[in-house]
Amino acid sequence: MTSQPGIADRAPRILIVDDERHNRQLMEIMLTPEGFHLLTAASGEEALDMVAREAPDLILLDIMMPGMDGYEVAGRIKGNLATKDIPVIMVTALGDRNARMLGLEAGAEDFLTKPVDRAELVVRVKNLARLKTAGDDKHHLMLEDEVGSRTADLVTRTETLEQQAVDREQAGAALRLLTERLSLATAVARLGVWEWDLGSDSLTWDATMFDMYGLPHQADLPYARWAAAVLPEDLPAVEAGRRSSIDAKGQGSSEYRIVLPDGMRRSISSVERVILDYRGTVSRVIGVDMDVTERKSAEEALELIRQDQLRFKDDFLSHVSHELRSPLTAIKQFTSILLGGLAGELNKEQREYQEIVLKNIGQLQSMIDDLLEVTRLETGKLTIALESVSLGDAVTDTFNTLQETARARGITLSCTMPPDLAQAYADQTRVRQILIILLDNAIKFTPEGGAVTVQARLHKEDPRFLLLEVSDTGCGISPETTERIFERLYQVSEPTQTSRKGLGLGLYICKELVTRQGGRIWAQRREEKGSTFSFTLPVFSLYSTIAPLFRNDKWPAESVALVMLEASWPGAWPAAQSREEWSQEVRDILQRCLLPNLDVLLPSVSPGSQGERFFVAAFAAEAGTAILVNRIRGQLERAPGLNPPGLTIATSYTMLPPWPRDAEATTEAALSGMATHLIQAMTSHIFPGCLS
Amino acid sequence: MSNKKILIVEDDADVRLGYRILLNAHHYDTSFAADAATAAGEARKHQPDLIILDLGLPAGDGFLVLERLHNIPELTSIPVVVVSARDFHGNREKALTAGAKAYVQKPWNDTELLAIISGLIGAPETETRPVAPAEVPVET
Repeated sequence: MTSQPGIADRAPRILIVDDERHNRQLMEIMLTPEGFHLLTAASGEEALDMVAREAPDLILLDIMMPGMDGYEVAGRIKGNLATKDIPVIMVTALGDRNARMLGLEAGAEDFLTKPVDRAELVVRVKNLARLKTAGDDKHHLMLEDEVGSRTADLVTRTETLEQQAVDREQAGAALRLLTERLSLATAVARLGVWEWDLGSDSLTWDATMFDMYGLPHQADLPYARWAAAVLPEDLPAVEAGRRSSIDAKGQGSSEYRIVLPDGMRRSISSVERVILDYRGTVSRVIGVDMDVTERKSAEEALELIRQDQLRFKDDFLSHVSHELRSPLTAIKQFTSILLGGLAGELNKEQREYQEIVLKNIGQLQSMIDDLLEVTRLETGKLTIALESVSLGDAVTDTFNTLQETARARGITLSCTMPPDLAQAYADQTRVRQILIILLDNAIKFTPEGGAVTVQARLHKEDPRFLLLEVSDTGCGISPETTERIFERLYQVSEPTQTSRKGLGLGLYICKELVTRQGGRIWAQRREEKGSTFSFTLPVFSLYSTIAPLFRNDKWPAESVALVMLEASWPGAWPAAQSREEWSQEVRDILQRCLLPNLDVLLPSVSPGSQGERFFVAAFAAEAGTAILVNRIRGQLERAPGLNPPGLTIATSYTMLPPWPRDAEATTEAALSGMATHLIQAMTSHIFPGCLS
Repeated sequence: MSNKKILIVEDDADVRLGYRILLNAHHYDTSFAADAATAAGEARKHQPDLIILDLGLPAGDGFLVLERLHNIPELTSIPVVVVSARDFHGNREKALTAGAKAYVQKPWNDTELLAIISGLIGAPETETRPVAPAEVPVET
């Protein structure tokens, strides 16, 4: 063999022989950065051809190949004078003892075990390639020495390995099978495989990945190149997900969109798993990407169709209800005119019959209302505004509404409730709505002379809730029915029921309303007679309503202020508008003045008969708070309807004690502390001694 | 002293007749417009004390009428009560924002409607006899 001039400048030429494309690519990816000139052959025959033509400096030779296998290739290379000095590294499956022995006999210089470790591969290739290209006798001798010592080493290792041969052989077989399956699966599923080396912050991709991202194939890809391909708005979530997989030393998945070099968008579904090094620290993340663009767009199309159908149903229901109301208006108008005597005095029968007409108009009207209510429930248009609610007031209002109906049927209404019952944290209008439906049902199904009672008390089983029970002395309900009675369109079909049924939406609406206020509803047959409908509502507590507002990871600024708006009317409420509407408008205005992530409008605190108070927790320093207060004042002044004569509105604020702005601040205890500060400020500044 | 005047903007002839009977019986004088296009003209002609306004109207809708009334200086101060079959939710707030004083859902309750009207323009003058189509005493 000859030493060529300028040989040191020539990149060592490495021939990679493997029948598996993936294996060849993997080796290429590992060796390219080292500056080698790489050649590849997919079979033994091709390898011999390449050796003759290209005279490589080193051969990496896979053993298991169809046709001519690695042993035969090595034997022929070593048996040929022209090529016998080219070092051969045989690549074998882990623990394949016989393979090593046979390879050694065939004249191979070194061995590498699959899966190939990158660092090991580079070191071994560099050693042998240098020996070969330097090419003098001394080196040749050194090479022989090296081979000799390595052979001895390998024999020792082989003996050791023999101990575990059975286990390893099984493991090796399983691994080969898995590798086969994996490469088949990735090819069929068009999965791209990637590896992220955290040390160098670079990515190693297989060919599918490059095709998927529309990038030219290359060995190492800087991580930033991948990040640049991801749609900017999707990137933070993906990176956060990967970060948490790494932190947890586990795995994760994400879906995101990428932009190809030609500007096309594709959707990618990605799964990653963290690989630990021998010290147990995270060194690499491997993952699989799949292009799910078609699936995504199919899903989106389906969702659009579904939305469209829902919208059609809702539009249809709204339209029908509206159109039904118009003729009903005229019917009710003229019935009222007749009953009002505006078209002449009615005799007893005429009056009685017109009353029947009017009653049925009422039923039709409430069915239309129910239909619209259900449409609202199902389209999310129904709003629930939670505040502190007096159940006593709600029951009194309901009794006032239904007293006439009950009296007409000879049914007595009564209510028992402890005078000091806590307030509920609920929506006042919705609580009344629930009570009206339940009481109206109870009256309807109770025979003349019966009684309907409402009981309200603290729920014994869970004192965070109030329990309301509506009991009647009617025909009762069967146990099977109690389970199903709250279903939509469910109608009681028992022989004892003679009353007209309606749409069967009332109890469904009740259940939805109760659930959306955080409560529970159920029905029972009473032991003596009739049935009881029970529902729960959360007890209003400043702490439990305020504390959750602060469980926010965007835990902001330096200090917190409590802004207070106090309205008072020394005499009676100015008549021009309803107080509830006024109150809602004030809340709307406050909400408009707030910064979405920095200020919180606190729940209403039970309004008094001559004053009402609104609170805002503002995450601001004093200067910022002053600006906020001015903004609120300005907005209120520009809404003349909110300042009727006889009503005064005062706006003020107080700064809360500061608390540590460090990692501790986000703990539950610190948040609780915050809520407690606020409550103390609210109680001590506004209602001295009023709240416990 | 003359009766208070109410302009009713309503496209349904039956409902208009019903209004006439009810309101005349309660000592209000009535005039009518049957669509959005003529409503403001009728208001200018009759100078009513109050306007009852339907939302679903031919040639525009009630919101258009509200906007027009708002833009005519001599009419802006006339209180408008919207009475509509359109759903209370959403439309009520929209109507009040557009300047209506109250929103009444069809089919309405006479007592409630009359209370809203008298709240806005004062109670009817009970000493005057109604111009009711039938000669019957009016129940109070």
